[in-house]
Amino acid sequence: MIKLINLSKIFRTEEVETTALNQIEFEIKKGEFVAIMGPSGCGKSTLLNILGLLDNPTMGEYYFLGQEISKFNERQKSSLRKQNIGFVFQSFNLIEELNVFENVELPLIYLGISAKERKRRVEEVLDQMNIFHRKKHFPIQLSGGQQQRVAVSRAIVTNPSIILADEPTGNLDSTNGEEVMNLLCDLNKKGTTVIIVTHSQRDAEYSKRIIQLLDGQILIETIKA
Amino acid sequence: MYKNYFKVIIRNLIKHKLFSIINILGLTIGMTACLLILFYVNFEKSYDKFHKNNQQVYRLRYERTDQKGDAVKFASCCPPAGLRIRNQFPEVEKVARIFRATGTITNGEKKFIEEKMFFAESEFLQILRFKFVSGNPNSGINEINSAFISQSIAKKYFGTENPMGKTFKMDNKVEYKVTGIFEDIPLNSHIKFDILLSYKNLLKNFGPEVEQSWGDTGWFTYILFKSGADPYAFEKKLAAIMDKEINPELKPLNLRMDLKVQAMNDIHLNSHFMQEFEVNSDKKTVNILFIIALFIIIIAWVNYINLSTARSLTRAKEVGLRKVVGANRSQLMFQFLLETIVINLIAVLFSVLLFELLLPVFCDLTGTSPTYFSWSHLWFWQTISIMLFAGIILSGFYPILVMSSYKPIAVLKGKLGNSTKGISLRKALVVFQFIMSLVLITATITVFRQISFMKKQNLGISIDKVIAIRTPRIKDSMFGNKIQTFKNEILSKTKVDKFCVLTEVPGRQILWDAGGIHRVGSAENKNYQIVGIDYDFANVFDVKFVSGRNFSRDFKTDTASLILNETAVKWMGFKDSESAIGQKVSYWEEIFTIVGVMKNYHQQSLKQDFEPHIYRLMTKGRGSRGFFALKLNSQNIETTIATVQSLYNEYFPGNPFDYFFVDEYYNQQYKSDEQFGTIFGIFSFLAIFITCLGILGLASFMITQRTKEISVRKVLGANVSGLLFLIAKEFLLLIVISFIIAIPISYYFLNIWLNSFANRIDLSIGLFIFPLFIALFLTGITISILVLNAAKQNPIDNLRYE
Repeated sequence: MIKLINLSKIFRTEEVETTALNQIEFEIKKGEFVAIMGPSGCGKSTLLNILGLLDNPTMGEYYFLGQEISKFNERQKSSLRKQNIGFVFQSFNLIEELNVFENVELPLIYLGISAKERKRRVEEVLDQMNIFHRKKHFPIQLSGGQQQRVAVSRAIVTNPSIILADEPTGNLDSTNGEEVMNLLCDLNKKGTTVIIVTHSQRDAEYSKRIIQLLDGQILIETIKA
Repeated sequence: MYKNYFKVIIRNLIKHKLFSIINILGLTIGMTACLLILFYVNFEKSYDKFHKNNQQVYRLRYERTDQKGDAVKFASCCPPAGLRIRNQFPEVEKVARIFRATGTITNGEKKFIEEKMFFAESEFLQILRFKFVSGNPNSGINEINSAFISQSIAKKYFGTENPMGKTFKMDNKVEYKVTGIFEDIPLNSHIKFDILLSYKNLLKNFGPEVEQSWGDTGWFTYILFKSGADPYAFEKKLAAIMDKEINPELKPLNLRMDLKVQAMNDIHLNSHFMQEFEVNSDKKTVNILFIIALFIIIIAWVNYINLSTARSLTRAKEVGLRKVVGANRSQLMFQFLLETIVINLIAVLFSVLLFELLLPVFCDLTGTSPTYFSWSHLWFWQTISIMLFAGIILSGFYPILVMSSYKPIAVLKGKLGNSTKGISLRKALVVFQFIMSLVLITATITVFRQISFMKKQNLGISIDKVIAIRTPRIKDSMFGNKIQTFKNEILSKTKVDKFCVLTEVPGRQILWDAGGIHRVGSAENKNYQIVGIDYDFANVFDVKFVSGRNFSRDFKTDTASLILNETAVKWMGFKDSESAIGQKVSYWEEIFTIVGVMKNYHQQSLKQDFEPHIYRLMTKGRGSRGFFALKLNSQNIETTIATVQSLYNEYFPGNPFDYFFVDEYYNQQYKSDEQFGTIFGIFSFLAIFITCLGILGLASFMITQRTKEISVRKVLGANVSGLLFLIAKEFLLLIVISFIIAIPISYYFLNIWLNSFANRIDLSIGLFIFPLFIALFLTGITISILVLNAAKQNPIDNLRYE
């Protein structure tokens, strides 16, 4: 599903050149649950952004669903992204001006799905995430755990083949964190590929494979039985 | 999708109230100002367009040129010109002549002096088709002693009665029968009249020989051309006729005459000749106001651009998220475009309401008529569409481009600082706004200073506490003696110090303009303005003599004497005033002797230069033209005037007592300038206000962006004034740059404007510095409010959010 060959990302400013990712190579197959770990500044978020088509690599090849996409333009990436990828962020990143229902509905709107179908799907997901009763509330009126459930709802409402989660439990207490991780596990069991970036060993335990990064390079890959 | 967009737009507007209010208020004010000014511009351009065939109607006027090429240009024509044309040229459909009339109109007890009257040929109303309520406009005043009156005049003299077939008297002599009633002449007509009298009465007054007199003026002559005719080719034909038939006769006088055509549609904005019906507007004024309208709306658009791009930084998260969940750039652009459209639409809605509300006040201020406006006017909807369209494109384009270009990853990471490009653009736009504001403030101050300069100037005469009373028009054979006894009684019985009779009071152009005057021995004919005065004119108005003497009762020969002013001395070619005394002047073939030279004084507003005046002794006034001028002395002016009135009524029964204060009358000349100044001032103020709104928004944004910095600085010990300076210095520099750029711009345009005045102020440094202080002051206040507010907050509140 995902294949990186010799992939590097270099940030240049006037004075400094920082290599965030240095010749990374790995492959992720459909239905995997992968955790990317490592200390701050090791390049894990950069990697996730490139995987999520939010950023371009400086060098190397990136195959997404069999296509080499490192030279894709924004429009092409946007189109791939909205059909295949769901994002979950540490800081939830809900749009404050929209209520729960509308936040979850947004990706469907950009996919051009009819209002009736949108309503059905959003309500189904909200129900599944146990947040249906809050559908008229605005993000600011929700607890952190509830907000993250909304964010996960938004990520999965389009039935993406892959979910990318950047520190999904970082802003949550342990109960809420556990709940979110269980949600991701369930999704994975249903066939969705899940990639998370995390600091937390506990979160990483949910995955089947852990990629440890250090200074932009893969340090160790652990595959659980 | 639209539902979602609209929801976000409305919620955003509500959430960011300050930005919404500033944007909508700024745009609303800008649009309203634009609509009002364009109403004015369109009103000014609408003059005479309501006539059918208005494009084929021309006015025939004439010019008298001396051998040096100096021409006196009249708005009117000589009586025979119209006759010479009538039925002689295939391209001319109709010709009509009219002549001004003034008189006391009476109907029973009601008597008033009417000045808006004309003797008119029947064809006049076939060329200018004013609306009639009753009577036949084509033939109604063919007969002698017949008249058309306006609806207002009908009401004024006949009340609720139907005036048709009824009569009124003019100067107690001629009885006219009302044969038609027309609707009051609209304000946007270059000619305004209340009463039209049969042309046959004019011929009866002047005698039929006037029809052949090429030396007379005042016959306003209108031509209706056939469609497709070329009026300027026609003018050339006239030149050939004049050169063949008339100019050879004028050759010995060293004069020539030319007939000119002038499109009626051009009169109101372009015609400034002798004997105009009213002081016409100036195309320049209209253009200047149009430019101000543009300035204001541009300033409002700039605000929108500035605020939206500034605010886009705080909206970046929304943009990033939308991109992450699948929005592509065009979808985002569309969303922001929609937002711009909604804001502009709201502003348009408000401005239409405001326009409707303010129109009567504005019309009052500008002397225009609200009845001219109609919702069906094309210009109105065109303006609105252009403002909307241009506003959306101009103000929406850049922010949309900026916002939709944000990279989601940068935004979500909060990496999106101030891009330096965006900042320099915003700064450039603020400089642009300040330049316009500074130029407008400088211009406003200059306009008012020029007006007050003109009002305060020494006129060379004293018009303070002088009242002018129109001389009686209904006279008997004893009139000459009566004036003398009336004068004696006024001087002995009332608190009037001085009394004189004269043909024209200071305060307007002297309409008695005579050519054919020259020094004996010189063949050089020129035009002079003639004033008839009595022995006491110089006394009443306190005019000084440069040399020679005043008219005096001791010299019986003074009826054949003249007094000149200094300019006339120059025009006649004398070396100096002294050498003019005792010289002979040929005045229409009669010989006069110059006995005195008066110091120049300002007969008209200081816009005009001194004109050559010749004073003749006319102790009874001249024909129907004339005033009594009374210099009052008492504190109790009202009682004095009441006594004068009762004496006037006693001596000149049947004549209305019509008086005015000469200084007020004089200052009326500045009315249009003051009006212009007021409009200019109001719209300049609006421009500055919108600029300040923009500063408020930008500063508030800057402070929000720098809240954390402000808090850190406070924790480290910064005081409020230090914080104030921190924010203010950003704008300070911009104002100084604008100031430097604005000076040459203001200087250039104001010099052009001031050069149209014969007496003008100089452009002093203060004139430019003062606006700078206004701008600094207003910006200072705006920023202080915001900074004080921010500095009051507990610093830790803003530091905790990490």
